[in-house]
Amino acid sequence: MMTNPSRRRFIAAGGVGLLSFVVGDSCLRISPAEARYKKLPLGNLNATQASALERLGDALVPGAADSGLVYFLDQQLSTSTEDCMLMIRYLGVAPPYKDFYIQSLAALETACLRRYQKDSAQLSASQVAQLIDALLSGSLLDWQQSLPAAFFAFVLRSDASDVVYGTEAGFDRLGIPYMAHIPPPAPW
Amino acid sequence: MVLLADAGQALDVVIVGSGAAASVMAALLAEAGKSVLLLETGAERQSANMISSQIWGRRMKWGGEPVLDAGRHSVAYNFNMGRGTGGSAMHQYAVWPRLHPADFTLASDHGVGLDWPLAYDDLRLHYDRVQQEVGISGDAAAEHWRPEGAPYPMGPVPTFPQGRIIARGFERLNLSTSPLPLAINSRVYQGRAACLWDGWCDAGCPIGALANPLAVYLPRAQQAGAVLRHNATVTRVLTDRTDRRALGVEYVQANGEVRHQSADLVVLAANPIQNPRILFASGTRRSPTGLANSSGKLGNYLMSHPTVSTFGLFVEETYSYYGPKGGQLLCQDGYQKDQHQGHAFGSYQWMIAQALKPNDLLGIANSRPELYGTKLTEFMARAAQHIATMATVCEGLPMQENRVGISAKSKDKYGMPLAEVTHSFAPSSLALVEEARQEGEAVFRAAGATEVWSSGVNAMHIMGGTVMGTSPDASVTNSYGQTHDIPNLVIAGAGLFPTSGGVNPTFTIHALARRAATYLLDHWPG
Repeated sequence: MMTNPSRRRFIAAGGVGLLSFVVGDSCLRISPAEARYKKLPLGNLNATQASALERLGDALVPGAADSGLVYFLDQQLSTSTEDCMLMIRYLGVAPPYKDFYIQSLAALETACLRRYQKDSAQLSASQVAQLIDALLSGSLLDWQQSLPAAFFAFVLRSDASDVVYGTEAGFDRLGIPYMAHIPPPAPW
Repeated sequence: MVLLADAGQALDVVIVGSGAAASVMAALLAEAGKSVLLLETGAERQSANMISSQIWGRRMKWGGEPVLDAGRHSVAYNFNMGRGTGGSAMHQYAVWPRLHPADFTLASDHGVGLDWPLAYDDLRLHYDRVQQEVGISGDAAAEHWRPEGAPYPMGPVPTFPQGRIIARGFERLNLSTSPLPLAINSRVYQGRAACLWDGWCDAGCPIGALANPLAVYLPRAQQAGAVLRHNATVTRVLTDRTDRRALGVEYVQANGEVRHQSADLVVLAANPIQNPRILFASGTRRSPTGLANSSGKLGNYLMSHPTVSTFGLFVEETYSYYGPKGGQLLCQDGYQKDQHQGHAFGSYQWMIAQALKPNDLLGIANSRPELYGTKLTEFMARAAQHIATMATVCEGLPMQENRVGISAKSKDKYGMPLAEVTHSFAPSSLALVEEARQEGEAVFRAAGATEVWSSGVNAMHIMGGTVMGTSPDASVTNSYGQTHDIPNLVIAGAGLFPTSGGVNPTFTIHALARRAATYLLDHWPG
């Protein structure tokens, strides 16, 4: 995992362009990756939830943590339903979408505690892989949510794919041209 | 030009919505001198907002009040529908084939589903006129399945390597392909730009190459004096004491202010779920089951197209990022409704070689949702250069039990009951899409794919719910969209379809709206 990126580097990794982050009385227009580097405070997610999302998201789609997955999600959960850019808006889940993420993360932690006697941030790499296999296959027995565990994994994997692959930097990493008519607000 | 007075003064026409059907109706009626107001529930969108990004493009999908979904197969309302200027047509893929004559006579020919109250020949002229106004790229002669009609005004889209690679699979199985008919400019057309083949169609085309409402009919409507009001949510159709005449609509503005707009003609052109929702919510003491519902069929026969996508990896580079999002080639060899295996029934087509992006619901990463970690990274690196895909549009049979209703418990912020949808595909439609899936995988293997896989069954497009018909006892409107109960209350859009056919609906929505507008001008019900 990238720990001390240069400015040039985190902009290159910074998938999801410039978002507004409110810090104190200021509104910063920076990328989610930059927000992560600056360790800006989160508005919707607490530290435990952020750690779980980052751990799981990066295991699903390598590069998601450095690309600012947590900040992207946290910022989007503050937007109106009409302006929300998360894929969940068209997956049949009733807004507010924050409830879905928070409740799913709570279910994830409960399942981790029962299965491994520790929370998700403390799992080893092999345990995270086991956990993802269980999520995707629907075999996580202690999942206490109305929406299936596999659905949560699908949503989170899609969010992580957005920040890693769905950007000009992501296209560039895959060696395919972005060809924007109207580019996303820089550095999208 | 007709100068439009503000709400409160009676107009000739008030149109609910601003999408495909609404924009055609508005343009034709305004150009004929009628005063027209369009009420759009969503926000204003302009071409400058069409950011090339699968992430930003989501803002054009439905983001309004939820639709409660039941039944075995969701119609994927929030994915398929749009909101804001231009409605769902702003994120269309612009695949514009025509319905076939047999799609209009399903019940008569096969004893299932419904018949349309018009024949293909009644619509042919309007298909031809719309295609000339909009500009469609294609090769009519190569489409040997195509119903009679004028040739396309523009030559076809180019075939990129992805298309050529898949086409050889069709050829080896003795299946035919033709260029895909697209409402996308293959050259500069009537002052609108030519396409650059960059695959951002569904994120919104800001250069006018794709015939969305902002590119063609809304500017025409506004040029002729029509007014488009945003953030204006229609909650009720207002009627006289008999419920046999519409007086106008009630709508709520963004600031919560409720307004009435009187009009001689009310056109509901929202979408196949919101139109019946408004009519149910407009019920009165005299019409307790909803307006225009003396038949009891309001909300019934909701349809969608079951679809699967075929994917494959090839040794060659496919350049799958080039081309239109809807595809480059077409195959309708599977259109004969009763020539399938087992109990499969209906028509289907292939949209071949669709431009792919790495992310989003239909992107490369989600084509293999079971992969994660380093396996996903490796797959993405390979697939970015070597993946190819195509998708079916399979006929979903009309079934009365697939319906739109309103919730007895849940309401939106204006107190309007939420729509409830119940939808399941017919077993014969599911058998049809399974046949298509097997054919698609066989085509890709024949084309030389090293790996082949398919998506699950999904719902593409939404139709029905306010079906047209000859009998007031069995349908909601006549063939022009006039409700049987209230002649000056007209419905427009895909909700009118009695059958879905096996083709994308947008061209037919335009042709029907044009036919209705032409008729209404000659037989003004106001």
